[in-house]
Amino acid sequence: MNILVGSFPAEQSWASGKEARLNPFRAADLTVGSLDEVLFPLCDDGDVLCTRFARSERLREYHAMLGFRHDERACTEDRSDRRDTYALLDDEVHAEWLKGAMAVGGRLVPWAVTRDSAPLLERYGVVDHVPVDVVARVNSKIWSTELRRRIDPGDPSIVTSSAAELLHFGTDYLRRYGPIVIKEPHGVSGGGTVGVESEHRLRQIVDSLAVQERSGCRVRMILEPFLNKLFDFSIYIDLLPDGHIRQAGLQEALVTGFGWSAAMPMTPEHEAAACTPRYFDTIENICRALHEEGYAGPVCIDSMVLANGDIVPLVEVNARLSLGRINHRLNTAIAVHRRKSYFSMIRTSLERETFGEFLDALAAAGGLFGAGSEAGVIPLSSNTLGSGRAPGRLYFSALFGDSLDLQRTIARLHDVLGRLGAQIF
Amino acid sequence: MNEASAQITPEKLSSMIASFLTEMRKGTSVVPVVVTPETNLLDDVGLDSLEITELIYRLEDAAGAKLDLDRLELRHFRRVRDFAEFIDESKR
Repeated sequence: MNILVGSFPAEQSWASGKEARLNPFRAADLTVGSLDEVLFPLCDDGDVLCTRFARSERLREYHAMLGFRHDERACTEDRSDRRDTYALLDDEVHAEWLKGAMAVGGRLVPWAVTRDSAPLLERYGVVDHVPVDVVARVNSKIWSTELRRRIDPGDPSIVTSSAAELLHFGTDYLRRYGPIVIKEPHGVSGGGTVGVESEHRLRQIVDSLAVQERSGCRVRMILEPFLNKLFDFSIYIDLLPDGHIRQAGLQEALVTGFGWSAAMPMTPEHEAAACTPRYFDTIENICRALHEEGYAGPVCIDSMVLANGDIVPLVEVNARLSLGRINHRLNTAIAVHRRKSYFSMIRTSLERETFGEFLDALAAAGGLFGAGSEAGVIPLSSNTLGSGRAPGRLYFSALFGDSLDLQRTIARLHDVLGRLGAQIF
Repeated sequence: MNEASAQITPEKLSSMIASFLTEMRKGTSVVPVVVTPETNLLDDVGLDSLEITELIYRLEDAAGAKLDLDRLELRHFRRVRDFAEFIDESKR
């Protein structure tokens, strides 16, 4: 029995000290803390998913009807409690249960080994987990950048260590290569990456970083030329302690700006363009480097294919479970229906208190998968929705046969949200 | 005083933000973005961190002034009116 636990975003825990940010004005997004709900496709029957809050009862029944019959343990009902799920699990009532579950062969599986999850793992006897410092190091985009330069000595990506250095090299790169990309070492999705096309904008960014630098933040940024890509994709691997690798799946990643927006199976054309013997050789080299660093566990390696057909095998390493891996599992689960899963999210003002009404409206519109409909969406989360004025996120899987089918399914979902008076941001 | 350094009224700022968000969200948002001086930029239109940063840089260009980033806080995005006041103070 696996006991799955997640807390989001893991990247925050890996940053060492106070690091400057490219987008320093961040509203607290409390709904991200409930993203643990979407991990359920990674569970087998009998596994337990520990979530921050209990899933909506209607959603639980619906998922069970589709065949997802894992157990669930919600850690709190108190929405003002800001502790992460690992800390909540340490409360007496859960700790007793956890001890009992571990005594009968339970295995704690964290979304990622972080400074928050490691103490829990150790307390419950998972002594062979990878040290947090190793996990933090290999998850840094600095580590990926240095490895990329080892794999390809001609790679022009560099790490800058101050606002002044970023201005100096950024200006030089803009003149030499044209548009550039700046990345934070532990940025989450697109929130820690910006594209820059002019020296004026570079100076604005550097000014913002200099303000943070003066207040004691460390400025370390990755700088690279902007690449004209055709598509992004990711490979999911289980890296075993002895260094052997087990491929767990491949997915195409849809990116808006620089942020993740969806995962879906690769088209045969894209798979043929991306998955060359040389690509897999590089993936093996990356895994060897991870093993040499002392890492073992789940890995997601992001890659891309450029417009000119070149493959960039290492964009970044994510040494943890990943949303794309969840979609790979969803695809396996629904394969019998001859549909594919497009896993995405919508930022919306739909309130979680009206989730049942939303499910009913979606079913009535023929847009809920399994409710008499072979097309449609599977809503994946309820607590990621907002409440009151604050907007939240609706995570969903849209099942589709072809791209037209997918467009129709998503349009129907938007239509249902619109009819319920929910805004889509 | 040239046009760039003219005062940005809450009404003018509302219109600039609406037009900026419509452009940024082309292809995702299904309803037109309505912004008034009383709009809460975080809750009512769901401004995210990337949009906030991009908005700041664009407003610096439009206002012809550097915003005082040392003093800028999330509370300034609660109402367009508050943000307009902050921009005005930055220019003094």
